[in-house]
Amino acid sequence: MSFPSATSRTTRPDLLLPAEVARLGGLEVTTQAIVEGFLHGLHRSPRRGFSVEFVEHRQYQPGDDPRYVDWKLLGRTDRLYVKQFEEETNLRAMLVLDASASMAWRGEEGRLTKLDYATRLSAALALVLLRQRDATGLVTFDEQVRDILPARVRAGQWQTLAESLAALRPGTGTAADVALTQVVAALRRRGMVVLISDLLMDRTLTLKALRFLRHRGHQVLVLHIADPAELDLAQGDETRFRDPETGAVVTVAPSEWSSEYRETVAGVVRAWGSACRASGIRYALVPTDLPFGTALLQALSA
Amino acid sequence: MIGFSAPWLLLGLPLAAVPLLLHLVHRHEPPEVAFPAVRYLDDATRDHRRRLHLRHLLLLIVRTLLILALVFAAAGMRCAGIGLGGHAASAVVLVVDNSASSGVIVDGVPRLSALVGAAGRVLDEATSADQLWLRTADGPAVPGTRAQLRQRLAVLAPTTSRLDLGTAVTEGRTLVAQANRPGAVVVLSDMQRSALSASVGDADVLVIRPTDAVPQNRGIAELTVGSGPWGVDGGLVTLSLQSTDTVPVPAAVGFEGAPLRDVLLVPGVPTAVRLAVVPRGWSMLRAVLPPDEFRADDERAVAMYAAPPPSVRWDPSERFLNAALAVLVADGRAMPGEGVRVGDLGSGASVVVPPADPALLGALNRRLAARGVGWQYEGTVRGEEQSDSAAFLPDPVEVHSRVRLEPSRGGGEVLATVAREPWVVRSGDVILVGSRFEPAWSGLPLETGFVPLLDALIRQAFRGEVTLPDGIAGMPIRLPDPLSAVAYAGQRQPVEGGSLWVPKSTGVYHLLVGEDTLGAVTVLLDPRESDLTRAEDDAVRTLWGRTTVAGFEEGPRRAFLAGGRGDLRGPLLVLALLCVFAEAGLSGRVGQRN
Repeated sequence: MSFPSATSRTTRPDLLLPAEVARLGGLEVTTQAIVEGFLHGLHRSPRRGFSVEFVEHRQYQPGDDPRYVDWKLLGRTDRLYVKQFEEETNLRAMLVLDASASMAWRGEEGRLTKLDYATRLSAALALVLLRQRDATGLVTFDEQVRDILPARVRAGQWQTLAESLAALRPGTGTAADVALTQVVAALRRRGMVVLISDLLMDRTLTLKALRFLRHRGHQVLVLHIADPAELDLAQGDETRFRDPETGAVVTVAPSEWSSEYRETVAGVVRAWGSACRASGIRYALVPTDLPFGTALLQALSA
Repeated sequence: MIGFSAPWLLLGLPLAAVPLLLHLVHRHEPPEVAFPAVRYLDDATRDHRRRLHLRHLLLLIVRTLLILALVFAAAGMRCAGIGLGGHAASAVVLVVDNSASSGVIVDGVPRLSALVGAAGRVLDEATSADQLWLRTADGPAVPGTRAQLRQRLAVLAPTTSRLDLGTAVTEGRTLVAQANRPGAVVVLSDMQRSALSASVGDADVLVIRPTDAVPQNRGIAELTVGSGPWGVDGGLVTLSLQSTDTVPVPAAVGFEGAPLRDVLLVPGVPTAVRLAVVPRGWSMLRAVLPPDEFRADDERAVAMYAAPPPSVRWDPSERFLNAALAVLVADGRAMPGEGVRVGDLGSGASVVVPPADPALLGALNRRLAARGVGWQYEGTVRGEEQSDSAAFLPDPVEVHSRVRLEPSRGGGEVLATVAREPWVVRSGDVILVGSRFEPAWSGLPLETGFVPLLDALIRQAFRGEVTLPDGIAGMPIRLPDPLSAVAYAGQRQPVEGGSLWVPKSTGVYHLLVGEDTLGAVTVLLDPRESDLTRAEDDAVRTLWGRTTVAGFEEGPRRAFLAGGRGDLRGPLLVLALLCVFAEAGLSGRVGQRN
């Protein structure tokens, strides 16, 4: 298991430690800064539509492919615009965000909770997609579906999404399969479904739902949000560990069991990864200390 | 039953709670934190935590057990009825059944050898503190140390005597009760059904008996030569066979030292054989069967006497006497002569009756005294009386008149009584009868038994011949008065006439007065010994109570369990040591995990 280092220090917000980014401002501001930095560093649009049916122009964003710059319009207006094609505008993405109680947890004080990290990542991802004129929606769930924002590409969609994300509060249990089933109804055409969750749920039911989406032709991406303290048990004396969702309690001395725990978690990650790959589902483990830019790159590097 | 030699040390028992208290004291409540991935933690530690919990529990148990074992050992814990830790000083009576049936051979091994072997293993379990006895069929229980009893067992042989198991167990229980210590009666026997009888007493009984099949057996049940004596021209021998089956068996019969005659015996059917040539005087007649597993009843002997009939003189005017003696003469059992004077006192052997005239009693008494006869006639008794039942005169006889017989100068043998008073007596070769042989004196002349009685009186008087019924080995026999010795198998054993005598072996014993043979007694094996049928275990338990039945293998190990008390100090210390090792191992593993 390896993921990009989170120690890079730069002025680009997308490469800052997530907690540091969060201290810069509210969700909307910091998300825009992240996306700006992310797109600037990428030098091209993360997605490339190649439909021959021109639909509209949009302002050039750093990272857009220069091939789609409308040079004629540049000559007339002295501004950079890129052409948008039917394919791009028809992509419908649905972000499925886990807002269960287990997501409202962080292993250290100076770290974002999994839910905070996931909302910012979701907002950034939505902003990138909407800037590409991709219709983007949001489904939040805990043990049931809490909110559904249909996928749209209209102006103000991101603000709506951002406000919804900012207002999101952790729920109770987790039932991703229910939420994913409702996504089927929300995405009538083939699109992209991004599940953002700590995956502390019934793996069989969740995979069944994900495979159903894949079967319907959707691209499916699973972003496994995990606090570093969940991946590697901190040393310490005997402690009663209580599951905030189920109330289950296990009393162990972490110093005694760290290696066994690490192996178990690695096994779980391997199991999720192999099960997703076997079904054509992309899977990425995203620790909450991973810079948002790196996480976005993982999410959009399909 | 559990006991302690130092019960005050049980005050240390609360120490057993120390490990538990330490466990509870050290059991602090750990801090609780929220942790969403508890399921991973649970998966990672479930098996390990279970094992660790088990080890902690085992450690607690082992430490508690260690303290309990040490406290109980210090308090001298003893427990009855278990085989650990030896036993406390006990009283054990070994009843080893060496009766005749113990001579049976099973699979080539004498039964007694197996019993003695098992008895030896019982002694192996004994300690020098135990009080031990050995009871056999040879006699009462004998106390002894282990070594002494081993020596007795080493020379123990099957006897022809019978052992009544109920009696032996009662004796054993009495000894155990008198010993005032825990104990048991250990019976090592083939447990013949016929040897079983009730027992009294409360002591525990352990029966160690064979478990193999009871062997088949056949034996000579009867060998008789009639009322005798035979004439020198021979006589009839009657034999019969007892067997567990109905197969005829060839046997041989004949006189000792002469060729035997073959005869086929059918079980349960008496067979008469005529032996023509008879040696004069005392002879021993033998009957022999082919050997089987139980040899003791395969051969039987009987003594017999062959001689010419006695010569008799009597007064022919005595009508009833004359008629009876005429029958005996005609039958060849007597002949006219001067050998025995019947009806009056002669110079030799005489059968005397009182004179018809009471005035002549005085003269008769003087003549009797002059002959040295130990009896004399006294006053006349008239009235209706009956003779008492006796071996000499089994059927009662009506007596109307008699002259009382009184001993003088030592008296002599009383052969028959009336109203508990002597009626027919003997002193040397003189027999005195209290009534005349006339119907006015008694009903005897009219009885069918008159002739046989007269025949017996003549022979008693003629030879002083003693007719004793067959004896049973090991059972007492009252000897005739004039006897001085008994001869058996060429050995002469001095005896006192009139005393009780117990023959040890089966066979023919000659009764001697000085150098003369007075008679013979045939001592037989107790017929119950031939029946080897084994008693049911339940019947033994029911009859004796507090009884355990076991085989040769496990029985000896249980000999000191029934009444013994196990000293558990040794096993407890061993347990404590094992606990120490276990504690070291477990705590090491728990420490590694921690």
